[in-house]
Amino acid sequence: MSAVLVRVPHRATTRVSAASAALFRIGFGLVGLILVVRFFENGWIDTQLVDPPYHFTYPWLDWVKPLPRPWMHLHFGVIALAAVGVTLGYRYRLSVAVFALSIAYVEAIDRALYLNHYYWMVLTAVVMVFLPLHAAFSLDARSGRVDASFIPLWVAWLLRFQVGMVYFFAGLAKVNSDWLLRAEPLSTWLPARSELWLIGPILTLPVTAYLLSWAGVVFDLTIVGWLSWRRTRPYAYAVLVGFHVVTWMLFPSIGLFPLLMSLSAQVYFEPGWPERFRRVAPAGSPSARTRLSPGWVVIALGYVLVMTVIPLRHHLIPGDVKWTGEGYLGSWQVMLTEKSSSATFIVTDRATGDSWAIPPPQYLTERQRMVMATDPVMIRQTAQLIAEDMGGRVEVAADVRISFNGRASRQFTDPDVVVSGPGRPPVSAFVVAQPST
Amino acid sequence: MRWMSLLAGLLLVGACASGPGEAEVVSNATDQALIPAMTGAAEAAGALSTAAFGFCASAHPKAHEAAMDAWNRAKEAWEASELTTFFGPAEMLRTVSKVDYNPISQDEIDALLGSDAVIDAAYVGDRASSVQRGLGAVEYVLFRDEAEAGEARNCELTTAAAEVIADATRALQEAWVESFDGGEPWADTFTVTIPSNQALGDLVSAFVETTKRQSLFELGKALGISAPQPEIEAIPEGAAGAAAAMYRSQLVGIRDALAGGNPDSLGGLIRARSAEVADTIDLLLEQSIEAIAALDRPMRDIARDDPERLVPIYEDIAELRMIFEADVVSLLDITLGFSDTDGDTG
Repeated sequence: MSAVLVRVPHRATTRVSAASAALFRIGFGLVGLILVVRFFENGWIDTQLVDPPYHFTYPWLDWVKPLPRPWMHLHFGVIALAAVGVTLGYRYRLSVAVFALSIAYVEAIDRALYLNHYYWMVLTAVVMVFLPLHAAFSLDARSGRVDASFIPLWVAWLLRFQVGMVYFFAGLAKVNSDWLLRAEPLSTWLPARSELWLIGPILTLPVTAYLLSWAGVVFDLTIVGWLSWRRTRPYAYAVLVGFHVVTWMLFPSIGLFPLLMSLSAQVYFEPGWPERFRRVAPAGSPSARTRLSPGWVVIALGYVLVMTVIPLRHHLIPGDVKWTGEGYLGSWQVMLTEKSSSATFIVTDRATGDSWAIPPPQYLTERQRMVMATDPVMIRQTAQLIAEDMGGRVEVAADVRISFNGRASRQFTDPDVVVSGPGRPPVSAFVVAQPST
Repeated sequence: MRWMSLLAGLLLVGACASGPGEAEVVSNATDQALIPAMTGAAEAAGALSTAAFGFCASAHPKAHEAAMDAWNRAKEAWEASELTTFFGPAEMLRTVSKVDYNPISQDEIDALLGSDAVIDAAYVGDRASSVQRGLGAVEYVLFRDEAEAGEARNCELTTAAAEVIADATRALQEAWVESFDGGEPWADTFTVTIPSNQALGDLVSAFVETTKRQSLFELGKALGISAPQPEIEAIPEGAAGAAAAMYRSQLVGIRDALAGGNPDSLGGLIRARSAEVADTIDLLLEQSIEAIAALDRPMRDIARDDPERLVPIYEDIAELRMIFEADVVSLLDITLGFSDTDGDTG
């Protein structure tokens, strides 16, 4: 044990080439830039952030509001500049700090817009602020603002953890009866791709959904191991890229996730692998060792611990996270559920006792309505919103029915439980227990 | 060679085992339901225009009856084709605004009739407001005693509005089958150019919107289920008392688009994914269509005098809406509306 305690810090402080970490930075910055371009190109800045009169909020973040239109466009311009700064390694720490704050702000505006890979980008950008990823292939290095082309090995380890946790926890989340025994939601999703050239008809076969489900869970749970083992690493990386290309072809709406992960996973190669393609050897000596500050060790280990606990916290909450949604955020439940729902709200006038049914407010966007109707927290927020719209003279309950992972639709919320009250009733008070079949 | 044989075998098995392809389903719904419905609406609107001119030329009681019959047929045919107004060229052509905007404004129609404006098709089509024209306006001025309906100003509006309706329904039909906006027929866009899954989403969105409006916004309000107090006027019904026929036609339009008995139809595709859901849809559609057909009085009257009679109809349609919105959307893996955004939400 004591030998480990000596050897691990010794290895962690070993200076290694910064080339792979720098490529990670470049890839991350480029994806950040593409993200901004997509927001401008598709008009999402207006349609998703500025125009909606209402935004669903995260706990403790209900004070976050979108900027007025021109300022929000300018804000995305700032994100783009920061992404360019990250890519080029120009004033890197400032650039990545601005990127982290800016993108975190955008993500915090509306809970209905939560995406796993945006969350990952926010986390990663925050981590990157503290990592010297500009030690190579950067304008900072070229202008002498960084003193060497080496980084301590623990930096590479942390980046590998950052990438690996997505696969591992996504794989862990797939270990459930729906995924393994019913091949859902792939059994629902794949037949809708029946028109894909050549493979379309195969996708409609039930066995295909089972094969891909099992292949997916094996891939997610083991890919980090294969990438970590020198002998299998090149093949594993090729499989990883192939996996992401296939998922992108099958599910184009998955957006930037395949590109992001394919570019990032190269950190599992030897830290100096890009040096093979450089004519000039990096400056400085790799033999030297960096100092490991106890404070940073505690912070890094604390981060790893928190990132390990967050995806697993739903196990401490009664009910299946895929049904209740409690503990879903940050738990890497990637493409695990197919939920479609129909929502109506039951309004009761406190004074007269009259009750009537109404649809979700028309001023919610299509996307907000769709996501809200499957998420108990947003259903509760909508009930409170309706009560406020009616001057607080009514109580509101939710009558929501959900089709979940290929099952016939069933009641999701108890229409007799008022959810608009000031006490914010817990999710368990109004979400009905998940049926056993 | 073995691998090639295996691949060919899998492709063959896949092609046979999967039920109808989505492209085939969209194509069948377009050719066998949507276009015939639009053609029917255009023909019935043309007949209404002819009958309106006939009545106004003769002012004969039989011609008045014929014009009112033609209105009823035009209304039913239009409602049966209503699905095509939720997507495609209808928005750009402003079809609903010209054919059947709801609600009309009787006050504004009276003001128009009392004005000095020359009421002809050009005026009604280009300058009159949506609330002063369309089937609702024709109903308002036509369904009176023949002497009043035959008065000059009423006749001017009847014939002009009927002509605009005929032109608009024909324009929509032509946009689908001949050319839209100088390009290919929209039927080709719908069945070939846009992804089939998106076209299915358009169709199912139209089902959801229709049943949601019928249940939550109209019948539900009239019955006091989706309003604090019964609001009889939420049922869109004028002097012709044609709300029941309207609801029935809209549901028949959905049933025709589903064509559940045909294995290569949208209903067949749903059945291939879940026989239980397909059976429930068929049952609810038949039940509600039959119950509405059995109504022997204007729906507003029934809602006022015997509301319990409408409750089962409301419940069936509300159930249909939930099945379309939750089950069918899930079974077909489609997205309602057009809320494109970046990335997965799974």
